[in-house]
Amino acid sequence: MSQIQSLFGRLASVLLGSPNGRQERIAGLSMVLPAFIFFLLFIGIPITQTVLLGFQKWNAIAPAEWVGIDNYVHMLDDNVFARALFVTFILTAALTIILTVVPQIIAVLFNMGWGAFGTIGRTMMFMPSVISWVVTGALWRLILDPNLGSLNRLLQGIGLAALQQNWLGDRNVVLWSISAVAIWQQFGLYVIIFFAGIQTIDGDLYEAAAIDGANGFQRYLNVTVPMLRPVTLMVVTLNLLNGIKLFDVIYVMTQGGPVNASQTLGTYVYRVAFANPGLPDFGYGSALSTIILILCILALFFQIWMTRRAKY
Amino acid sequence: MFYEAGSHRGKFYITPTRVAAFAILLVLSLVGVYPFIWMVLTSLRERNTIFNGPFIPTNFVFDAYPQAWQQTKFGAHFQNTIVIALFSLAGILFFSTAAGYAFAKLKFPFKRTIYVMLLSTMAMPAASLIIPLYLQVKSLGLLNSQSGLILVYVASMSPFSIFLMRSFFEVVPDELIEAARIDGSSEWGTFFRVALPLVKPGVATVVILQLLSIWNEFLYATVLVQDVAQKPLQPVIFNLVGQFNTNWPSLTAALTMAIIPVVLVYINMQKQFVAGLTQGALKG
Amino acid sequence: MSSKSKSKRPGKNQLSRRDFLRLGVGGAAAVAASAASPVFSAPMLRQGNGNPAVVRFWSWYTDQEDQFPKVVADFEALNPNIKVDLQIIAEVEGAYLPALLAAAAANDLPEIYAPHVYSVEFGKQGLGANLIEALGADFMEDFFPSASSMFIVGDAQYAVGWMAQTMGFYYDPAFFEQAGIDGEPETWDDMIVASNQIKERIPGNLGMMQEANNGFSVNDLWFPMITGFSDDPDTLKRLDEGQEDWTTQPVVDALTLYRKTLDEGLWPATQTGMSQVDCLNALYVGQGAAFYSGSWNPGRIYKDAPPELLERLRVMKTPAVVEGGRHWTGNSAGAAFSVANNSANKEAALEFMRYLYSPEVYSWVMSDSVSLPATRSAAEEVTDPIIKTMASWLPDGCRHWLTGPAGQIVADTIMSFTVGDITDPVEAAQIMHEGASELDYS
Repeated sequence: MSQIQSLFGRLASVLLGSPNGRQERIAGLSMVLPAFIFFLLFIGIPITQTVLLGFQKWNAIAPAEWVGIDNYVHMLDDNVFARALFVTFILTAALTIILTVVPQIIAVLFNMGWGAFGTIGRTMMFMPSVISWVVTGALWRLILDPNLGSLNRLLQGIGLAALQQNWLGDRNVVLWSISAVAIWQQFGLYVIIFFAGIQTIDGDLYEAAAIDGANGFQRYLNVTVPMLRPVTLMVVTLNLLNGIKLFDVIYVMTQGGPVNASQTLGTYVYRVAFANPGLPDFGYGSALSTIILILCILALFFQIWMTRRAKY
Repeated sequence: MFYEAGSHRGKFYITPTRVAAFAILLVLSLVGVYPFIWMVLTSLRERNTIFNGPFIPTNFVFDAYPQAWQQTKFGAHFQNTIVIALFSLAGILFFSTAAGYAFAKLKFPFKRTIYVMLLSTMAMPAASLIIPLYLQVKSLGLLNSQSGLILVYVASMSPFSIFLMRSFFEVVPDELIEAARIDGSSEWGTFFRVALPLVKPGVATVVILQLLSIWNEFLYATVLVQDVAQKPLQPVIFNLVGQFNTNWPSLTAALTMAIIPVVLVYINMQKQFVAGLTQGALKG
Repeated sequence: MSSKSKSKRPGKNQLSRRDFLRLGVGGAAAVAASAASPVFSAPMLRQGNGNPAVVRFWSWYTDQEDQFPKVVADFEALNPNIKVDLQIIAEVEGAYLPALLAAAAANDLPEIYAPHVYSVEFGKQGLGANLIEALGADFMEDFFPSASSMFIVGDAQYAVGWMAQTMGFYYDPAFFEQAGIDGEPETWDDMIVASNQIKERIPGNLGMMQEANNGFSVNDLWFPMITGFSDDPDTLKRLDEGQEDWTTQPVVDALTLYRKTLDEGLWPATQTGMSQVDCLNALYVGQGAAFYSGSWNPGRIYKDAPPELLERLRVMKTPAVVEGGRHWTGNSAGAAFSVANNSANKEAALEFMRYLYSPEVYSWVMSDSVSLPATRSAAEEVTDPIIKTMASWLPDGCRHWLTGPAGQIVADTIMSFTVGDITDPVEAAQIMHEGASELDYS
């Protein structure tokens, strides 16, 4: 054991430079490295291969062929890719804003103290995340059926027939429908993340604010919002990542249709890899995935940048 | 009157704000729980009234449950799921709390590089990753085994949990950690004894979310474990979904049975939130 | 993929690759340690001497989910040295294809598999067995030619049909009667008249329906029109293989006719938002009169539809494009089975194939699951009236989907045509032609 420690120590002095704070650095690395090695072994290698496949032509069975940046050049005149990029951008922006602001407020409302109802209510809101997409997708398609669906029938029933839509079949409406279902599906998840975050805020801060005469809304603005900053930032980043590779909801609702109106990068990758007639085009699919990867890494740098900015 | 600090400790009282808040929460809760109700009711319907009967079935039939139990060999696969979920969760929790703490509170070399590399996992669509992953797992000789699936789950799901735990640890004041250091506590000791107890709600969140991901995952489970007897529940249940022919009562019955444990764990973890609260949150 | 693609990488990557490998060795040791514990024991799928040979048997055909287990059990009782590992992976694109392609990439295909659209490609790469060689030419004789043609390349055949398909309109005669329509409309023009008559006389009725929320389903409808105009079932094969241009007259004629059905109200206005489930539900609740779809439906309709409707429900042949014309019907055996070429248990797999397709077993599976068989002898045994009717159309079968690279561009274009982005048939044909001519047909 001590041998290993001294070995580690020597390695550390090479790696870690000055002895000042060295213990912290060693501890930091020892906490991170097990997860990192695991990641490299099982996920890092396949991810690297996927990125490399983006420069190849490969259909899963014939030998791969190196094609340089052909796949990326192809993107430039691929209209479906342009559409998918646009839809991804719109949906990511809309979902990130709504799924950050509203769940935070709802979590605050839950924190008003409701006894058993609080737990039950949060459980009920969380149910969409618990139930498989197979069921929720089928249910939503029934609700949104343009002729027999309960939404159009409800609108008819309350005298708002003018608002009836072909929810999944009209290109100008489909993104609204998709957004609504996506919000509904993830909403409860962010409520519990915010709720958990609020629980870690020091109660004394609220009492101090109350003594200073702050009302409920001021306490929300001056204590809850700033203290929740790291959690909010996490939720924003999570939303950005989920938005950039949005897939499940569209796959079960429209598969990107009609006429690519709801095609995102996530569904397009899937289509290229597994839903194309003929053999799959994993080279192009991997190049598209690499674009998603780059966008997500930008979102992560955004989080790091915001975190550092908050500290100074 | 937006936020009522400390009201959870006192008795219930009625103000217009609370009535409005209650109404909002109630409506959203009902909207959220609707598919669950639909799922349970569908599992109790006769098959030829699934799409054209009234919302509440006229006849309640329980046949779908024994049928689904048999059809999916529910007991055996349920056991597989439990084993896979427990081992995966243990690994994920260990990795994510330690690494999350390090990323939030410690300085060490290559911190940002490692962070971004880890989280790139969350960015890669499974559709592209699945075949390289399959080949990698095969070359490690772990194909067709639950251990292979567990290790893949731990590796692929830990980054998300690290990401969550990092944010929860950020909320812990630096002063507490400095104080522990001055008291001579080692870094690992500070992590275990000072920081970890303060982020119980965060740990509870990770447990719930990751349990759910493991429970509902079916792509990796389908592709990486070919031997039917070794498979967890979800891919087996999914086989009740036909392209042209879905037996909805069986499917919803199986899914209803399958989510019971997740809901129980969820409710239990919710108690963690309240426990963290009554212990005076950050006063340690 | 790994070894093949790695050799193509430029030298720059050599270092990182070696690093990965080193990590891999260390990690594998840790993993091996964990594998020693009893919970983690990994069973080997293929067994050595003395143990039964394992035949993995994969498909997504839930149609026979009740029949397959019995077939497997009976076979295993007869052949104690063979174990059949049955897997029905129902989610086709979401799980079945990833699993199949991953297995193919590792040259470890299941011994028997439903090849989806890959039968020929796998065969050409040496992954799928030539079944004429493996099972003998006699084995193939009983199959309808249309159930085999798409699996044949030269002298080799890489799959055998499992379920045949024909397509037509499922309809509720009560509405036709109520709207004063005599008998079954003969041509698409008659169909347009009938649909409008139904919608006029029965308020709220959607008339005739098709699954128009995706281009592949619309292909099912308008491809038979192409054959209708050319009267040559090979037209689509030539289009599919890039030997004929999409601007050819039968294609333009078919697009013109399809345009007419769109403009003159054959279909519901909301059709681009209607899935197969939506159409069937409309039929079940009496809001739609007829639904254009394939022979894979009866098994499901019998379980899902209200009993009153089942007493009336009938199926009519795809309309002709002109009066007196032939009623070409979309037909293929999209459902098929292939055998892995490189498995140690190939012989055991072939043994199971012979059993599965033996006349008694096959007939029983098909009739018990209300499926349309791919062999003549089994087709004669069919008793279900709807399946029997649809089986009688097999001689008029023509392609209704593409296996070549043009599939996507054609599906996308016909969808744009359906929603009205493109209204001119010549323009649509031109777009298909331009897209298809850029592709690689080798």
